[in-house]
Amino acid sequence: MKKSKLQQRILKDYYKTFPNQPIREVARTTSLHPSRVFRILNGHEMKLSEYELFESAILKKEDEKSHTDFFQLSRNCFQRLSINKINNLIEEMSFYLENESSQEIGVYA
Amino acid sequence: MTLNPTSRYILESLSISSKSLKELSEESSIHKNILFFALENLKLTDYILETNNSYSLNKFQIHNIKNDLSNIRSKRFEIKNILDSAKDKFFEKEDALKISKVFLTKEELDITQGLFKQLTSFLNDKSKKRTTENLKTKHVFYWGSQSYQDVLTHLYQ
Repeated sequence: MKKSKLQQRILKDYYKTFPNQPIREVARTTSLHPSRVFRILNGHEMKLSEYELFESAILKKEDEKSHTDFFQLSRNCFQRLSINKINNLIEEMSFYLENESSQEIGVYA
Repeated sequence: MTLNPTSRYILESLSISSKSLKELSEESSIHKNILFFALENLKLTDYILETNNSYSLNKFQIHNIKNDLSNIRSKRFEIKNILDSAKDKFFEKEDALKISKVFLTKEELDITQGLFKQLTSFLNDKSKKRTTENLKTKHVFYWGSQSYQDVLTHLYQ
């Protein structure tokens, strides 16, 4: 059975994010039944909802990675930078946050 | 109290004339939702008043508004906003930000400082003129200088 280009791409992206995952593991990550994963990997056409499950698993993993990178970077900054530089970083972050929270009522109250 | 650049814009615009949410949004190109929350927050502080869907500055709060706009943190917030924008446009727009690293003799430095003084005085003169023009047509200029040594020592402060 011929996989659609979109399906090929999402599976390629999936295996780039989760290399060498066995079917059981793919099923656990995407919340799909293992037999359905087996069929999809063997060329059965994906439903849109199944495509979205693969996509959200990839996005979730990327988010986790960028969060981990961010916290690791913050930790390194706090360990190695001067107080002056750390205060600058805190100010920068709080400015970004204050811009965001201005979209809530009560920030100045 | 620190005022963010959106609130600063609103207060600057309402100091020229009263406006509706729609007018503020058209003038600034800032989405109405963002402006709505900023307006509501400024209303809570009594800095602005709303009458028949039109917003105006509360004249009894001018002193506090001026204090908040000129406090160090509000100023740093605005400077960061302007320079971040210039930095992001640096590689796209030729005149967004100009930086020159040059050797100058004492005489050349005096000439350069004199030219900057003229520019400062020209722009100060222009900024004193109250205008009813649309705020988004305003231009933002930034200039100044420091020694290369200061720039380098700042790296490790």
